[in-house]
Amino acid sequence: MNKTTFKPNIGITIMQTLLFATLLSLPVIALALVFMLTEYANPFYGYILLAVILPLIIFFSITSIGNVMNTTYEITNKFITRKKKFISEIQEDIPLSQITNIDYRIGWFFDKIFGVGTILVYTSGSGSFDITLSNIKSVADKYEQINDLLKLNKSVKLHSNGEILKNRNTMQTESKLLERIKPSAGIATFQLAIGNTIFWIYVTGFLAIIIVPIVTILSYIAWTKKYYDFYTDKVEYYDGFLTLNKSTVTMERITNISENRGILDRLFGTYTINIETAGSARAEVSIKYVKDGTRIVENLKEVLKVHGTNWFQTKP
Amino acid sequence: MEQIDFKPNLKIEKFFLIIEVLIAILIIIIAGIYGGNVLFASIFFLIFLGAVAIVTLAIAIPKTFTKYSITNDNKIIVDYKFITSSKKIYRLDQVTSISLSQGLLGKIFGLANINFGIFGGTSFNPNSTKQGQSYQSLLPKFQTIKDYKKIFNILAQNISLDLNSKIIYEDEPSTKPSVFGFSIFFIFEFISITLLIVGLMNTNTKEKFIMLITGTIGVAIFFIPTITSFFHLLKVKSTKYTIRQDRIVYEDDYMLSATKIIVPNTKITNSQINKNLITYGLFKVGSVKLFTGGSKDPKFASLEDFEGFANVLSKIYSNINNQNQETNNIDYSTNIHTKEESAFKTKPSASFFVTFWFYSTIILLIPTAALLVAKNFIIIEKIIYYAILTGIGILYISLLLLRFILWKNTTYDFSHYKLISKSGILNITTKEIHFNNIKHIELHRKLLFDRAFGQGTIYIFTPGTASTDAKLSSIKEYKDVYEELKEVLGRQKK
Repeated sequence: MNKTTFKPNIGITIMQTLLFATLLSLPVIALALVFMLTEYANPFYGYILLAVILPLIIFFSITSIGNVMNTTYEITNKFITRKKKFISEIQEDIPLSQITNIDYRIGWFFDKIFGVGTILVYTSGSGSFDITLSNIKSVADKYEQINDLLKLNKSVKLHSNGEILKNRNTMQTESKLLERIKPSAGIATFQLAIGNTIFWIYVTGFLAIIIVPIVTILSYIAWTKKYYDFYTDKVEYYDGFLTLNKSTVTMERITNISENRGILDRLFGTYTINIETAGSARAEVSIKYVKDGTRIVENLKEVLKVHGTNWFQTKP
Repeated sequence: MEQIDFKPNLKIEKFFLIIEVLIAILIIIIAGIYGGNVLFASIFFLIFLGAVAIVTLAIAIPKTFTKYSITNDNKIIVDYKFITSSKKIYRLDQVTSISLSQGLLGKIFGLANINFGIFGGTSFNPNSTKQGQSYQSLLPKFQTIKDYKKIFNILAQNISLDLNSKIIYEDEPSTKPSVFGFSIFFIFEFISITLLIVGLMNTNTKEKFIMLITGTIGVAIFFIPTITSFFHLLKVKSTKYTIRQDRIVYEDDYMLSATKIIVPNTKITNSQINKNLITYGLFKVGSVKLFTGGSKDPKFASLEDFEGFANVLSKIYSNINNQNQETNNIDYSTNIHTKEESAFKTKPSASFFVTFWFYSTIILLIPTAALLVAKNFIIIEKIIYYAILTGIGILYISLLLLRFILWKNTTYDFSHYKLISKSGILNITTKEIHFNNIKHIELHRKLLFDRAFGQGTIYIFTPGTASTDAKLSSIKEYKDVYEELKEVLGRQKK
């Protein structure tokens, strides 16, 4: 049984904690100095302020860094485990068979600079509890590794004549890209532009004349960087403008598919398709502003049929 | 089997609209005859009727454009097409419960709603792209169907339920608690009415005033509870709980409404017994809940033989979990009260007390210290000072005592395939969790005081809502138990 062990990236946590501590302590120190050096108030208050707030900030920083330094992640072919041993001890184990889908997220500021990111693992169950593996270097690799492990738990594959192929343990379902669907960036931007314009006019008044075009152009670029990949065994959503987001839903875990069209959708000929899993309410892929929605849903159903999941059950 | 398509029936809405139109015509005629002030009042009535009609139409119009289907590959489709369009496809094998509900209007017009529970979390996450939409509204439902009996049976067959399966255990809730509740409210209402009548006849103005006031207040407060407890009593009288070979059924049918909920045995993930010491002491009843990992799970309340019921329930779904092929031959009726041998028993240990006592001492020290300090700055009456201190003292001792009672009532029993966790002070909950249904586990050892005493707290998560999760607090054998659970989880198939 192979076991991969890795630790979250410590450098980024140290940076974030130091930044946060500094940001928090500077106004407090400034206020304390004001009390101590000027005539505005009793200098005694300044000392009290320092005596109370500074130890708190130091304590908080030590615990944050200590917690991350002593966290270990472990991936075996049965579990994803997180262990932490610093003052208190915590261990969390999620069996791979209970994972409904996984996402990865690379924030556009800290994460991109340091090449780290967060993998979110979802299970079906109480209070949508997920293990967030944060600050992992080379997130994409780890993500693919977990993805591969999840594939091994898949159900049988059907031959095209309906026969169940044997030796499901040795067989890996090949993952072939069937189609890449891109939402209509123009239509999306246009539909959102109306709401955006109203919002910015309300917030910034006449400055909106400058802001709205910039936001619209950025929004358009952001929409061009989104796409949905339909594979033979999964659906992936990729969003790559500022914050990188990737979601994967394996065919097996899909519970509902819905095809929706709002008023604007009908005007512009677009669809919104929601693919849901049996996970917490946020465990889904929402495909918006795409054309040919009916064809996409039909194709998805065809793939689900061939894939041999429980999606198509003939009555006993 | 061919695909079955049907639409919601609009009898009720049509009926109301006709009535509204007739009333409107009547008002216009009356206004025409009498004129003057009546005309003025009639305009208000017409506006009000108009609003009611708009509401009726708002309910009716979406229904006319909705279509329901049960496909031949085990799916349900809810299709809506008017201005916006939405087509939702649901897997029947993900359905955890089917319920048939009929309100008063439904009973009169012969229509019913069919609701589904679906496997998955019921939490609403604000980060979801479904802004402002709760998960409940995403569940499929068939509204006001005419052929509801036929459709309900078709659905039951499609999820592999046999309409004629054998009944293993039947029971009805005890009416004692509801009779008691109704009697209390009725007596108070009766006293209030009597007070009112006597007050009206009384000549002494002061007494009359007091009696009238108390009487009126009493009548007002107790009127609604009396009526609702009366109907609740009727409902409980008509309720039946049935455990069959392949499903569990909750049904009730009284004047105002009828409900039937079926849960396939294969969908049950855990069960729970709730024994409230007060209701148990008074009426000797407890309640049983079953969980499916979906929503709309039925509750079996006011059962006298709640332990027997829970025992049969447990045997049924543990057989399915352990893939026992001989479910037909198992005799559930005998020995329903015998308990299985547990392989291992444990209780929370020292840090269960010490952690609680430590933190409650600290928390209660704050007001005490504040009081002592305040005494030097402001003048407090000696009696108030001592009263507050005594109050804090009593609170402190009660907290420690309650924690001790909780410890006495908490036990964790393990067999080779399940865990029974019992806990509670006034309301004792017995949770049964089968290892096959555990989603994930956690081990927490805080420095104060789990690590200090060499103990640990294990959290066990199951599908569905958080109330089915178990917490094994501060047990000594945490390492072995955790490793054992992890091993069992590792052997789990999907």
